[in-house]
This record gives sequence, structure tokens and C-alpha cells, in this order.
Amino acid sequence: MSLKKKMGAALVTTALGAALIGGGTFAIFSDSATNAQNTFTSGTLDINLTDSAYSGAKHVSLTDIAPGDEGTKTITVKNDGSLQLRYNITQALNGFLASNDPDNDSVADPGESNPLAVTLKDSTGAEVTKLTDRVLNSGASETFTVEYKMPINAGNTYQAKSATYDFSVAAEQTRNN
Amino acid sequence: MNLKRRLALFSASGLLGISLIAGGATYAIFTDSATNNNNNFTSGTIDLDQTRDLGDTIPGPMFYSSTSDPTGKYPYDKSGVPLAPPGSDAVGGWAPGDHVLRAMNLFNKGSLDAKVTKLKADISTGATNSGVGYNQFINKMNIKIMYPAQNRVLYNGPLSGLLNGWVNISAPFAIYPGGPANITFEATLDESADNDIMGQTFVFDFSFYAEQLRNN
Repeated sequence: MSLKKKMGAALVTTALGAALIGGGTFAIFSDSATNAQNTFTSGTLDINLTDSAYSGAKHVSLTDIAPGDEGTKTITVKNDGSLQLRYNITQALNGFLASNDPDNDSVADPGESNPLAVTLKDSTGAEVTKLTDRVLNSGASETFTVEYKMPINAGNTYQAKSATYDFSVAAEQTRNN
Repeated sequence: MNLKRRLALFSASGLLGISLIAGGATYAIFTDSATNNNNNFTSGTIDLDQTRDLGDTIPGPMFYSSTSDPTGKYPYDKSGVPLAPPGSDAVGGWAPGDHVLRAMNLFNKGSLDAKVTKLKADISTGATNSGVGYNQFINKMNIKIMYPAQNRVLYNGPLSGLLNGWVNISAPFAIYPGGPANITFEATLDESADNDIMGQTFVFDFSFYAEQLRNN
């Protein structure tokens, strides 16, 4: 071969060799291990109210009451979830029967300022003073008594009037809180 | 001769010499041969294994919600027996803000030195894999995976980051045949998780990947 051709051949061979070494993918030994079936279950926060007469009712309508009448209704607060909770009680009494001026005329008629009174009492019969951060464990419940009383001195302007009492609870988890 | 021609002559005769030696004719001289037989090449093995480490020898998942294995083969919680391991930490289920620490051991049961380079999580077969609750859970559940013996953090982020296939460990660690590497998993459910994840169950598998250490 001529000198040129010989050198050309040598160069090509080396180049080919380099390509063979450098190129292509390769597999190495490997393995894996698994810790399986890790279960994460979230708890539940569930607070419910039951009334002795009306299951699930959260407000009590009080009508057709005469002066001197009094009575009670029970409300039970229950933790139906899996997590311990703390809750606040909110109550509201609305309506002219519970107002100091039932006929709304801004005039102090006889027998006015004797409105219907509602008292919330706990299972021991004492008035509930702590309305916030009451704690209930999962499955536990608390029973309250709603006592209503119409004063004997309520006058005629209280006739044909009504009031509603709302009792509601709001709960949150105690854990990490 | 002038310089150029001499140089050319030298290289030409050099090449000629090489080709004569490489290519050239055969001829007979005294010869002998020897062979080295039966050279064995056995390949080593990479075999990565795991057990959970809750102070017990019962195989099973690191995180569990009830004390019984759903298949009924063994209890997960040996409380009542001496040396009882911790039972399900999240009694009554996880609540936002909860923080649970569990551990597992990785073993190299093969013959070759290995290095652990990747990890991942998968949804267990048949478990919830979609929905509002699921999407929130995988983003609010933070997993911190550590190798405490070498003070390494292997992963620290939401569970969702582990569910897209193998994740490279930024600083792979070696695992030699025999002794276990104790890996800890710290799971924290972020406080911002809300009622959307209440009362649901999610199940995951956690995996590690190892490669040969040599030449790698």
C-alpha cells in the first residue's frame, strides 16, 4: 500500500476501536427490598346532639306558655368520633316572649320586663358556667337540662308571643391543639 | 539527501518494517505451550432485604392502625407479652399534627458490597389511590427518612414526592454483607390537614434500591 493509504487505514482502525469502548449502555447488579402494607388511618371528629324528645333537634320551640309555667328539656352532647375533642356551647334565646318589651312599643306596659328565662344546667343540677373548652373523650357524652320559666308576673302584652332557644356546639381535636 | 527526503525515507521504511513483522510469512522454530485451565468466574450477588424494627421479630409494616394483620397470620402488636414493642401509636387514627417515628433494618444478604442509591413509595394493591382525601393526605403527610448511624437524611418531604417512581438519594450509603442498616421513618401529618381526610385509610409500600458498590 502507499504510505498515505497505510496511515489512513491505521487511523480508521483506532477510531473504530475508540467507538467500541466508549459507546453503549451497561447493566450492573442491583436489587431492591420493600417494607409493604404500611397503613395510615385517619381518626374522626364527630360531635352530635340528642334531645330526649326530639332526636337530632338542636333548637327547642317554646310556645303556648302561660305565666308561672316552667319545664325542662334535656340535650345530650356526644362524641361519636374516634378522637378526643373539646367543644364550646353557644346558646341564643330569641323572640318577643323572651323580651322585656314584648309588644315592641317602647312603652313600659304593666307586666313587662318579665320575660321567659332559660337556664342551662348540667347533670348535677348546677347552672353551667363553663361554656368553652369542655372536653369529651371518644364515645363519651354529657347531658344538659334546659330549664325554662315564665314569670308569674308577666303581663298581657306577653300573650300570643313566642320564643326560640338555640343550642349549638362546635368542636375541635384536642391532640396537637 | 535533503532533510525532507530522509525523513520520508525513515518513516516509510519504519512502516514497512512494522508490516513485515505483523503480516509476514510463517517459519518453524522450537515451540512449547502451557495452559492454565479451569479458571472459574463466579459472579457475586446483590441481595437487599428488610425487616421492620419495632423491637420485635414479627415481620410486618412499620406503620399499622390496628393490632391485627388483615390476613390473620400474626398480631402486629405484642403488648401483653414480655419485651412488647410499641403498639399502634396513632390510636384512634391520625389527627392533624400527629408525629410518629418508626424504623426498619436493611440487610445485604448478598456477597457483594452494595450501595443504597434510591428509594420510593407505592400505593399498596387495592388501597385508595385517588380522591380529595387521598390528594390532600399525600401532600400533608411529611416523611423524613434518615440513616441515624451515619447521620444522613435520605429524604425529607411530602409523601407525594415518593410516589412518582424511584427517587435518587443525594448521598448514597454503602451497605456491606451482613450487618443491618437501621433506617428511621418520621411521619408527620401537617396541622393544616382538614376534615377532607377524616375517617379514611391509606396504605403504602416503602422500597429501597441498592447497586453494586465496586466500579460504580
